[in-house]
Amino acid sequence: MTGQAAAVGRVRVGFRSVAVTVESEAPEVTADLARVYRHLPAPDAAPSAVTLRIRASEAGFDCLGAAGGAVRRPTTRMAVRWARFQILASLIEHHPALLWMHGAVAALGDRAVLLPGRRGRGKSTLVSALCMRGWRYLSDDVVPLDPATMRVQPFPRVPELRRDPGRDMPAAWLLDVQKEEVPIDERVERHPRPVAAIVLPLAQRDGGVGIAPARAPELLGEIAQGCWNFAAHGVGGAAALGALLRGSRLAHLRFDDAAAAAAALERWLDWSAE
Amino acid sequence: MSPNEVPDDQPLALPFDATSATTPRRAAGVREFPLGTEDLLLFAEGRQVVHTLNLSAWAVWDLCDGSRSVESIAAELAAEVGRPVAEIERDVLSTVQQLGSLGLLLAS
Repeated sequence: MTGQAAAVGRVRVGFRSVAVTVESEAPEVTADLARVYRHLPAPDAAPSAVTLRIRASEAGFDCLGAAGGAVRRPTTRMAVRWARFQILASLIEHHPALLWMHGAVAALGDRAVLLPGRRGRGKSTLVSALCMRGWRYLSDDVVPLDPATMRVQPFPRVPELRRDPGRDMPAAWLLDVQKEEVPIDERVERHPRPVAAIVLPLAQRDGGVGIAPARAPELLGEIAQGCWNFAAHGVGGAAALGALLRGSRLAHLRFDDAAAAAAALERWLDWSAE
Repeated sequence: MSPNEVPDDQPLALPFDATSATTPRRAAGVREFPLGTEDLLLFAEGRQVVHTLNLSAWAVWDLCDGSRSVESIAAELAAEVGRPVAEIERDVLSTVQQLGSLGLLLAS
C-alpha cells in the first residue's frame, strides 16, 4: 500500500515577544490547539523560541519536547494536554520576571478580580458567568502577574467548562474529563489590569450563594501554592504576593449557581457605583 | 507541574524545644510583609518558607529580640492585654515552639 507523508500542521502560540510552535501531522491535535489558543497567536515575524513536535504512531502519539526528551501519550486529549503543559513551561521559562499563577481573571472597567484556587473550585465557571454579564476576559487558568507594575497580563486561552456529571466525583476525575468551550470571543481583554479584588470560589452542588470577607492568610496559601515560579522569585515573590493581598478586597464565594454568584459578586464589589 | 515543594533534604520541621526559659530571637534572613493591620507575612529566604502571623503571634514575634525569655514575653503581653500570665505564657510558648520549628526563631 502506498501512502503519502501526512502534511505537517503548525500552531504558533505567542505571548509578548515569545512564540512557541507545535508541529503535528495529526490534524485533530493542531485543530484543538489552534482553537484553544486562537486569542494568543504569535506574530508571523516572531521567531520560535521553542518547537514541539507531536507524531501519531500506532500506540498513540510520540511527543518531542524542546529539550529533546520524548514521551508517548495514548490519546489525542493526552497529547494536547502534554502540549499545553509544554507551552506554559516554555513561556514561564522565557518570562521569568513574571509571577505565573494558577487562577482566572476577569475585569470590569479598569479593575480586575482574581479567582485563585485548585482544580474543581469553579474558577472557570465563575469567570464565564462574569463574562456573560459583560465583564472582560483575561484568563481562565494561567495568570501572569508583572511584579513591577502589579498588573495581570492577559492570557486568554479559550476557557472550557467541565460537563457536570450531576453528582460528586473523585478528585482524579478532574484530570481527564470532557469539557465544553465557553464563548468569550467578543469579550477578550487585551490590556494588563491591576487586581482590585481576590475572591476564592467554591462551587458546590447545593447550598445557595454566599459571599463573605476573607483574611489575607486564607488566600495566601491558595495563591502561593498555585504559583508555578514562586520559589524562583524568592523574597520578591513574597513581597509581590503581600502587595497583591494588601491592595485587594478579599472574599470567599461559595455557590451552586454561577449566574447568581456572578451577580452577587458584582453587588459585593459595587464597582459600577464608584 | 507542582512547584514550591520543599526539597527532600530540607525537612519542614526543625528540632526546637522551647521552654519558659528559652530566649528566642528572630532568625537572620527572615523578611516581613504586613498584610494589612492584622496579619504579617514572614518569608525565610534560606529555607523558602512562607508563614503568616495573626495579631497575637505578631505581638510575640515583635518581642523576640533575643533579650527576653518566653516567661518575660508572656509577662509583658499579659500586662498589655489584662489576662493571666499563665494563660498568655501557654500561647507564647506554643507560638515560639511553632516558629522555632520552622526555623524562623532561634534560641539565644
